[in-house]
Amino acid sequence: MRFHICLIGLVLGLAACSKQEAQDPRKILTRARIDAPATPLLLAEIEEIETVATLAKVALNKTVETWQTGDQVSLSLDQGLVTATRGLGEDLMSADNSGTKMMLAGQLADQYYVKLHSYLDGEYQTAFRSFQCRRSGLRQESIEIFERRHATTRIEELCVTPGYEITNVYWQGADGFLWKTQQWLSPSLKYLVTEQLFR
Amino acid sequence: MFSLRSVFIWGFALSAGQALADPLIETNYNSYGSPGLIDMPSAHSRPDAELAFTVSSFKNTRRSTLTFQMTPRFSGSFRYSNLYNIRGGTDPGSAINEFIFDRSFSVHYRFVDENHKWPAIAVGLNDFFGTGIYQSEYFVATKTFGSRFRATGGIGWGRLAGVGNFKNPLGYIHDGFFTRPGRQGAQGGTLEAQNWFRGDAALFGGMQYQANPKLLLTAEYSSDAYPQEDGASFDRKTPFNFGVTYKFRPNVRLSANYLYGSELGVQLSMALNPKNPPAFGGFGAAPPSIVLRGPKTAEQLGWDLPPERKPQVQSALASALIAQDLELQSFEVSGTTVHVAYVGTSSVQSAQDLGRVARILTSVLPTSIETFVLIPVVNGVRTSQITLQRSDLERFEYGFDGAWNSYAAALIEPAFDPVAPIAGFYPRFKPQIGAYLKPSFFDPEYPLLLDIGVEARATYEPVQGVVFRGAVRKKVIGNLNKSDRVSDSVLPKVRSETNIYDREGDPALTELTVSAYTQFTPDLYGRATFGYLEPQFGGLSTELLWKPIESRFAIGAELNYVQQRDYDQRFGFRDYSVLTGHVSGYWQLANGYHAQVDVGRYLAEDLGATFTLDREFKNGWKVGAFFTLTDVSAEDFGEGSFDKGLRFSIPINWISGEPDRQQFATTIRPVVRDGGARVEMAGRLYETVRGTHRAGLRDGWGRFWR
Repeated sequence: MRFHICLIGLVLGLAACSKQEAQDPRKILTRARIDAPATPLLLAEIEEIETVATLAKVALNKTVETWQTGDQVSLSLDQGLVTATRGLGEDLMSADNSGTKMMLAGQLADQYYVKLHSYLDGEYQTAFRSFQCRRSGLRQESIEIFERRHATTRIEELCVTPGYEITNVYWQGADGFLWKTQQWLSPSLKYLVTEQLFR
Repeated sequence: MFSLRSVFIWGFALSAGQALADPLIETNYNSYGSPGLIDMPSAHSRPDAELAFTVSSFKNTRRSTLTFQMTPRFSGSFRYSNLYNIRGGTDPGSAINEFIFDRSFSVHYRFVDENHKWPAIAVGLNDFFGTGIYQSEYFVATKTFGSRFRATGGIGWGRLAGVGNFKNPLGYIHDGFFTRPGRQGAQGGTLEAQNWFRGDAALFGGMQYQANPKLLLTAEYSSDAYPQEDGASFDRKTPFNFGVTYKFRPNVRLSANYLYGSELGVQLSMALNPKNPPAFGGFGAAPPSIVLRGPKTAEQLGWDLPPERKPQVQSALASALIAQDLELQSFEVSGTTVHVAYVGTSSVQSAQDLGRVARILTSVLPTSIETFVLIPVVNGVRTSQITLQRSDLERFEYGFDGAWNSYAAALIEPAFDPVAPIAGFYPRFKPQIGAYLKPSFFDPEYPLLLDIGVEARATYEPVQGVVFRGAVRKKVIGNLNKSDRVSDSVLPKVRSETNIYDREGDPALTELTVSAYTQFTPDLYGRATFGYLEPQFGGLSTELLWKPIESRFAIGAELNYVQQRDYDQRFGFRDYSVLTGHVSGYWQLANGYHAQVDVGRYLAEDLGATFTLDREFKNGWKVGAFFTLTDVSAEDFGEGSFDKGLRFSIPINWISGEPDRQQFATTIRPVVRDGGARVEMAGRLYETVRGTHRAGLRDGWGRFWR
């Protein structure tokens, strides 16, 4: 596995990242440790490649935040929606989530909208994947992220494109903040789950 | 609410998903490595660009075949057969050879696609310029029934007209088709077109059933009578063959076959496809991010880079480039423009390098600097300059169409802005130590020989444009020295003693040269190289290349005076020296092919031309074929009649997924002789410049934001 499970040692004051002994950060992290440095921290999991990591915020371009692991895998999130990944292999090169943003803002009800992904094909050429999406579920759900409870609205988004049918899930706080998400990246990585550990 | 439009879209999405479903049954490779049944061909093709190695074996016969699906319709195979107890001719009274090696080429072209009415139909030629043991031609049709069953029927000539043969139906069109004149070239390597589709014909056919996604069952009726093998190497009792093929992994298939009522055979085929990199876009580290300027600071401050701050910025830039495995060569700021030259490569990663240098600049430069002029330096040559606007980069970083937007906004020009190298950059010394792998394929006695060892390599650049290169190799393990065949060439032995060089060069000084590179005009490059150019020749080499930055064409001229080196590859020379040179035309076709023609005088003083056609994948893979015709007669050339072969170049990052700008390149010749041989040296101009010119950068621009 090339995407090593790794911690941001500097931020958390934990043991430095070790590529040999990959550890699941969920077994080490506690709420006290998360809160101590008072720095935003993201937990990301990609089950398909058996990877969990914590990421620190490294850059901001308008509304897009870029988060990075200690071994330099990055995720770029636009208000919580994944816009790009780097260093995962079959990366998401870019995305147009404007429809999802409107849906999450409650502007689309059950209407269809488009979601666009771009990726590199086998010859490293930019290729596009276009999904037809709609909200497919909506209910209140209380979730717990490291000993802290959040009252959220759990919103499901069903997207289809020839060959793929995917379900993204967003746990949205009352102010619109996405505490937790499950978002599809690519055929070989499938779903990325993010949790905001400290805001 | 469901709108009518959305119902339509859903319906379309679902039905498109179903329409894309292929039949479950898959096209297999036959024992000759062609798309086919067991021994017989079939009409469908393998997936475009697939490269396969097939080994099939049964009593006294083993065939090893490399097959490349060059286009969706056309595949070519190169085969190496070990044949034991085989007759010298088709006459049952011919003497039996204990053992022969046979090399042969085949092509398969599907000219009708299967649809609900028509079968797929293909035409093929086997062994059309080898020694002729497997020489045959065929037309074959294959139809799929349901998703699991396929039937194949065809008509064959030559070796495929051995069983149930009848008068050639083509003879009714022209009398000439009734008789097959037989082979003419004694050395192999002639096209033997006088025989194609001539003489008696016969029918063959078969059926295939895909029992489950992994298991394929095949039964065939073979029209091959094995005239040189029957009764000598094995007994052919019936024309029926039966086979079971199991797919272990998507690209690995193992078959067990019951052949001709008497023998069991096995076959293994392994395939890979350059279009399917195992690591996709790679696992290399995420790029540095753009650092945005505050909305007002540029106007408020209005400062450019004050001289006292320049060293600090330069050193931050230099170390950030090192983290990307790049080197800062030059850094100059004037007004709102910065010029940055860096040691780059002319490779598929050139555009990715550009994107990373540009992003680093946003984090180290004052906010007033808006225009970035980036200059890759390859072999001391500033091969192009790319101008990017900082505000574009800020805007496009996470834009959905950011790759195309940034390409459209980039200005790609010849590097004509004068910029001085940073103080202390020259002299530059780069030592390197690593492993090397040197294979030899299809030696007439040993199909695969391989040396593995350690290579110490260094470049030294005293000033920009002058490069000393040296390389020493020490073998650690290998068997290249097993080849002890003595050259029987009647030409000057310029390549046919390669096995002696392989045997005696341990350690070997494979390269020790000094080169000067220059750019006379934006379109005209020059090179002069002196020293031990390659393992077998040393001397002086000069080259001119005309390659406008926007052009897909280039013309080059090379003139060399070289002397043959001693076998031990130290400092001595042998008696043979020669003036050799070529005029070369290069054409990068828009559809992924690259054509090259070289006309000139070769190492054995022969005059002629080399024709090369490569399929170039935008991820850096190249698979090509070439042949050389010179004024050396087929008889003087010896086995094979003329020089020809296949060449492969594989980017290391395609295999590993880790950032790496190197390629592994190798050439396979059915036989290495002395006609049509050229000097093979590093640092030629065309590959030095073209990766950073318009077409090269565009092909790699998808990686700009990688």
